[in-house]
Amino acid sequence: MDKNEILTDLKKAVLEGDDDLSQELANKALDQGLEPMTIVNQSIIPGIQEAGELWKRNEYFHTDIILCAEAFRLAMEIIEPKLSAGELGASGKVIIGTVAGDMHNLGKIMVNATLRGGGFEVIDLGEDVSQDTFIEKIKEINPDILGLGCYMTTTMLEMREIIKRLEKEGLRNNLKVMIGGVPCTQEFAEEINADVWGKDAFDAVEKAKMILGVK
Amino acid sequence: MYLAEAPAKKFFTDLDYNFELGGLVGRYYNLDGPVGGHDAYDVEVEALGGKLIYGENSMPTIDFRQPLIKNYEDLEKLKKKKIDFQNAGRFPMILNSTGSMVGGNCIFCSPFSLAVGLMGFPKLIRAMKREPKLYHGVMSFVVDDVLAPWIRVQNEKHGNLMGIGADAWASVPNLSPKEMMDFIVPYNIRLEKKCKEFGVMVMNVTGDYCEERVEKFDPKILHDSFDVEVASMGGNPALFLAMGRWHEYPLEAVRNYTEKYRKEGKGVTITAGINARLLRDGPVEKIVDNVKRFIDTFARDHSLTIFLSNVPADTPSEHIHAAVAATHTYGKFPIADNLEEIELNIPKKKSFKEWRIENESIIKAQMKEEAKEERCGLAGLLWQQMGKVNQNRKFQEEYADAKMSFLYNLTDQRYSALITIENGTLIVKHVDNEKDNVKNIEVDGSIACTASLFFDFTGGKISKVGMLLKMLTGKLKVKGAKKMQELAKIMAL
Repeated sequence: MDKNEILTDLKKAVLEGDDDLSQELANKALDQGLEPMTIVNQSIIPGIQEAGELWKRNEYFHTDIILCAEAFRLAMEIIEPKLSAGELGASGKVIIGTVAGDMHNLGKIMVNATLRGGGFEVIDLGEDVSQDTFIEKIKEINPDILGLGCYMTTTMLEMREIIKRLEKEGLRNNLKVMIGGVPCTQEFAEEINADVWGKDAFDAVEKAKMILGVK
Repeated sequence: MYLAEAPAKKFFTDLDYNFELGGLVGRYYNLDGPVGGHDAYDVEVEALGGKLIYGENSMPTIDFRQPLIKNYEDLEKLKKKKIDFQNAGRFPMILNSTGSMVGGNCIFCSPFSLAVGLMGFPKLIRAMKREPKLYHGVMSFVVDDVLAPWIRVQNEKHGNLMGIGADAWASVPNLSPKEMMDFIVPYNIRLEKKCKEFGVMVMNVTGDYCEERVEKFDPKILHDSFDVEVASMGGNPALFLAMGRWHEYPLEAVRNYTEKYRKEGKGVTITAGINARLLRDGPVEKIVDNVKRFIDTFARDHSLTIFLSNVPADTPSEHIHAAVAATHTYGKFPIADNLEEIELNIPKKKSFKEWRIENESIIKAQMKEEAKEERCGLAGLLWQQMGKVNQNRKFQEEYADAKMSFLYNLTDQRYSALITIENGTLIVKHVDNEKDNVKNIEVDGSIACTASLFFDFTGGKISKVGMLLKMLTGKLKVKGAKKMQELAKIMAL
C-alpha cells in the first residue's frame, strides 16, 4: 500500500469512526516508516477536524463524533508512544474531569478528542472527581487549563465550589478555567468566575486556543 | 428538592415524601400540573443490578463506569436473570406509592434511554453501527423482558391506562432524525403494541430537538425530528418543544409542520418548555417574552401546555413566579388578539421557607382530602378531561335537574369508571372490578369492553361497521346507547 494511500485511508477511518481500521492503519503507517508526527498531522488530526466541519454543517451528529473520537483515541494510542517528548501538546496542557456526583462523560469523551486534535495535551481525570483530586493534580501537573464538565443542574453548582477552592489554594491565577455540559451557560460561567464556557466539543477547542492565545 | 431543602436520598427513595413536597412546591408556584417525581432514567437499570451513585445534594445517577452490558455475553447473562418486578431495586417504592403516578400515568425509561443506562452511550452507538446483533439484542431485551412486564405490573397495581416514556438520550443532536427513525422508533412501536395487549397506552417522548447552536437551526431536521416524536406518540400529533433553545428558534417552523394536521381538522398538542437555562439566568423580561411568544404563536389553534423542566437547583423563585404569572395572564381564554395590550402583574411572594411555615399544614390537610378522591384508571383520565365541565355555566343550567349515571366497564382492567350527573354536577369515581359487583350497578348507559378496544373506539380507529362487528361478537357491549349520546354531548362542552 502506497504511503499516501495509508495516510488518506487512516484519515477516512478516523473521520468515519472505524476504530478497528484506524488502529490497523496506524500500525501499517508506522510499519511503512512514516514519521509519527506526519501520521498525526496529516491523518489523525485532520480526520477529527473534518468531523468538526461536518458537525457544523449538520451532517454529523453526536453518534458520528463519538465514533470518530474513539477511532482517534485508538489511533493516537498507537502513535503517541513513538513521538518524541514535546512533539504533542504544543497548544497547552489541559486537565479535564466531570465533577463530583456526576457520572456523565459523553461530552468529555468528545472534548478530549477535539482538544487533542487541537494540539493540546489532555489529562483526563474521569468522572465523579472530587475537589481534592482536582487540586492535587493541578499542583502536580501545572496545567494551562482546567476543564470542568457536568450534566446535571445539581452537580453544576460544584463548579462554583471548585473555583472557590482554587482561589483559596492560591491556584486560580495560574490557570484558566473552562466549563461545559448541558446545564451550563455563558452567564453561569461569568457568575462563578470561570474564564470561558465551551458550548460543545468543537467550541471548546476554539475557546481553549482563544484563552491561551494559540493560533 | 433544593427549594424545600430536602435530603436527596430521602427525596428519591420515599415517593410519598417526594409527592408531598411536590404538592407544596406546586401550590407555592401556583402550577397547574404535577411537580417532582422520581429519577425516571435510573429505576429499571438499578432493578437489573446497575450501580447508582446517590449524591448528598443531587439526583441519583447511573455509574457509567460500570455498565451492566459491555458485550453480547453480558446481555446473555442478564437475560437469564429472573427479574423480580415486585421487589427489585426501587420497584417496591413505585408500586407502593401513588406518588409514582404523574397525572395518573406511569413513568418509565424509554427503550433507547434504558439501553444507554445499561451500556453507556458510546458503546451502544458502536453496537448500533457495527454490532447489530448486540444492539438489537439489547433493545429487544429492554422492550420484551423489562419494560413491557414492568409497565404491566404497575397497571395491575395502580390501574393506570397510560404510560409516558422518558427518552432524553434520543434527541437531536445526539442522533440524527433518520437514526432515530431507523433504530429507535421501531422499538417504541414494539413496546406500544405489547402494552396495548393489556390495555395500557404508552407514549415515548423521543426525538426532542435540542440543537445548542442557534446558527445551526435547521427546519428540515426539526421537521424530521417531529416525525420521530409523532411516530413515538402512537401517531398522535403531540409535539414536545422540550430542552431546545425555544426562546431563540423561529416558532414559525413549528407552525409550518403542524399545518398539515390543522388542515385535516386534527387537534395538535404542543408541550412547550421554557429553556431551563433561560429560567435560571433570566432576566424576567426575557422569560415573560418567551411565554408570550409561545402563547401568541400556538395557543389560538393548538392545545398548548407550557412546562418547566430540568429547572436548575439555584433558579431564583422570582423567575418561576414570572413564568407562571405570564402563562396564566396571557394564556387566559379567549386568547387576546394583541397580547401587548394586556397588563401583567407578577406577584411578589414570600420566600418558600416563609410561605411554607404559614401554609404547610393547611395544604397537607387539603392534599389528604384530595387523596380520598383518588380516581384510579380510566376514572382519572376521564376526570382530567371532564372535571372542568362543573365550572361550565351552560352545563350547570342545562343539567340542573338531571339525574343520570354511566358506566365504562373495562373488562380486562382492575378499575372501571362510573360517571354520575346530579343537579348540575358531574362526579367521576372509579369502581374496583375485583371488589365491587360491577354487573349489578344500575346505570342509564354503559359500555363494556377491553381497555384496548375502548381506546380504539373512542380514538376513532374503528369504523361503524367494525363497531357493529365487535358488538355482534360480544366484544363490545353497549347499553342505553341514546343516553350515552347525552354523555358525548356533555364531553363536547
